[in-house]
Amino acid sequence: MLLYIARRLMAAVLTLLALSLITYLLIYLAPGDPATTMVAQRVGRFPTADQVQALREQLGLNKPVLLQWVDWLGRAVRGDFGYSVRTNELVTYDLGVRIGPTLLLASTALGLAILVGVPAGMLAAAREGSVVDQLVRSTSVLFVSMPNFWVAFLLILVFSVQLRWLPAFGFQGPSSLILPAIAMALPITANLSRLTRSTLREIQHQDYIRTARGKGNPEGRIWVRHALPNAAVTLVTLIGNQFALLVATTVVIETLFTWPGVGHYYVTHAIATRDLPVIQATVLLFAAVLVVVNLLVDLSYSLLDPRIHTV
Amino acid sequence: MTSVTFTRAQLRSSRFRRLILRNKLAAFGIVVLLLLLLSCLLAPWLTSDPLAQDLSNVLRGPSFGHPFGTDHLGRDLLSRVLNAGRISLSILALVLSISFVFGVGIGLIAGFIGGWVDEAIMRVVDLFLAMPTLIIASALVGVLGPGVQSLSIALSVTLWPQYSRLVRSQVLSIRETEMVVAARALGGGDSHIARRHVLPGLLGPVAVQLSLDAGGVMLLIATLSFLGMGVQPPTPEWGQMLVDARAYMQISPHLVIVPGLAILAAVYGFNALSDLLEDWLNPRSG
Repeated sequence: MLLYIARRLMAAVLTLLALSLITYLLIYLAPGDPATTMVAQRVGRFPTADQVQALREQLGLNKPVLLQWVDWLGRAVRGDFGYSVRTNELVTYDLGVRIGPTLLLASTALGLAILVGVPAGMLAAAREGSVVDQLVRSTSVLFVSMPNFWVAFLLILVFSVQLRWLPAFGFQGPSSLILPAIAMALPITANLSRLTRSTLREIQHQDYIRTARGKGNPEGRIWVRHALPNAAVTLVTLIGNQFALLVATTVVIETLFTWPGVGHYYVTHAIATRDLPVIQATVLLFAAVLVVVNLLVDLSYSLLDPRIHTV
Repeated sequence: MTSVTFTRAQLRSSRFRRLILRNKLAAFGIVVLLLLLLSCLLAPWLTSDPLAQDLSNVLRGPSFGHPFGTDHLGRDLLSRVLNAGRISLSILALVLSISFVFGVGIGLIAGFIGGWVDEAIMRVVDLFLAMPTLIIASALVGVLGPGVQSLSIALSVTLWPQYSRLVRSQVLSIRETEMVVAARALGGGDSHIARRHVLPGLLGPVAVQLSLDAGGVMLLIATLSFLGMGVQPPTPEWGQMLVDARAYMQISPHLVIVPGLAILAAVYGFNALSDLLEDWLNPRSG
């Protein structure tokens, strides 16, 4: 058991290290000399050699690449990603003030998606072929193919422009949370309901369910005692897998609704102005979230499935 | 006696009919996709100049001269939607062929050489698959600067690992089969085995993966262009047209609805195609 946890932890740390190396190397993909580009952007004209040299030293660009990476990583671990070349603020500060709104929006959206998607999938599986089943299947197919920024536009068109019920952008109190959270939750809800339905359908045809039925158990007891505990491991994995989509939609939806979060900052500031330290820190932050979620999902198996203890 | 024998073509056609009947919505999606693809490809001959402005005719609703109406600069929306599709489709073709060739090549190397080379390649593949494509692609575009060229590079970088993984598992699964052992005994080299035994078996899974990726890439092109990282104005692109539409959605909702429907039709069509292909290739579906 301890060995299993230790092995998973090691793997997660190695993945993060590799991802941080890739992220660090991004700076070398930029056309031209990164320091020159950055100074040119900051002062708005071609920089002097002194200015470039100063920035090069500030960023440590005058050392061998691997050493640069180790330096950068050493500081990153302590939460120091250097300064934004545009705002001259600490990157950690710029991201820190925006992480709260992002967490609020993302957790609301994920909570909504789980609360709606999982029961909808269960209902569809329990009443196979019914109206509910048809509805769940067709809406989930639709929302998986709809670009979620378009869904957000349609929501704005109906609820902000036509009905004037809800604000369409910015953060003006709790009502501002509703539209972006729904827009983010929809594709995840669609995925979860579809996957929950197929997981439970598979379980329903297992021998132990048939045995439980044959022994005369009431339907409700079969679900609570037999179907759901066996579906738990798969459901947790499915929810964990949605975090990749959650991170991607955070970026899109925050930008669209001008939500004061990390995703909005990443698109409208970091990428629009090629602020490399901010791009690196944000990408690493997103990667770290996914690695940690995967780790937690793996570790949760041993809690949810007693058979894994023996591994 | 002759009444019970079917020709292969008959069997196939009845199976095909059953497949279509079982997936009516998917079949409908594919027909819409084909019509959309055709009209996008023929756009230069079907429609007027997508960039031609007519400031005396801005934000008009649908009419005979402009079936989908006009945008805030009086540009014909139908022409813009179809030409936008043409551009996205050419990016799609480029991205799919680059990642396919590169991915298959790397996958063959990993599968045939094996050992630490395989191990190293697959770790890199796993790293790429662990990150959401939008994040990798946007970071690359952020570093390379916005535009069609960076967009194509970024999307290809995110896509190739899928194909490497598919090809490698195919190589591993047939490497010890009798036909390959026999081919080796007869003096066949790696490249002979790759061409004659590995690639033919991949046709099905790769076709499914390609059409699935086609839907994903169309969505990513639109999303990245919507975020200002892809196709740049004034060149029309579905996602980028929605950015323009935003300021006018109150008076001209058609500007929001038309490009969105185009994206939906393309993405759903490709997804449906991949579903149907998978069903068709799966022997259990009879």
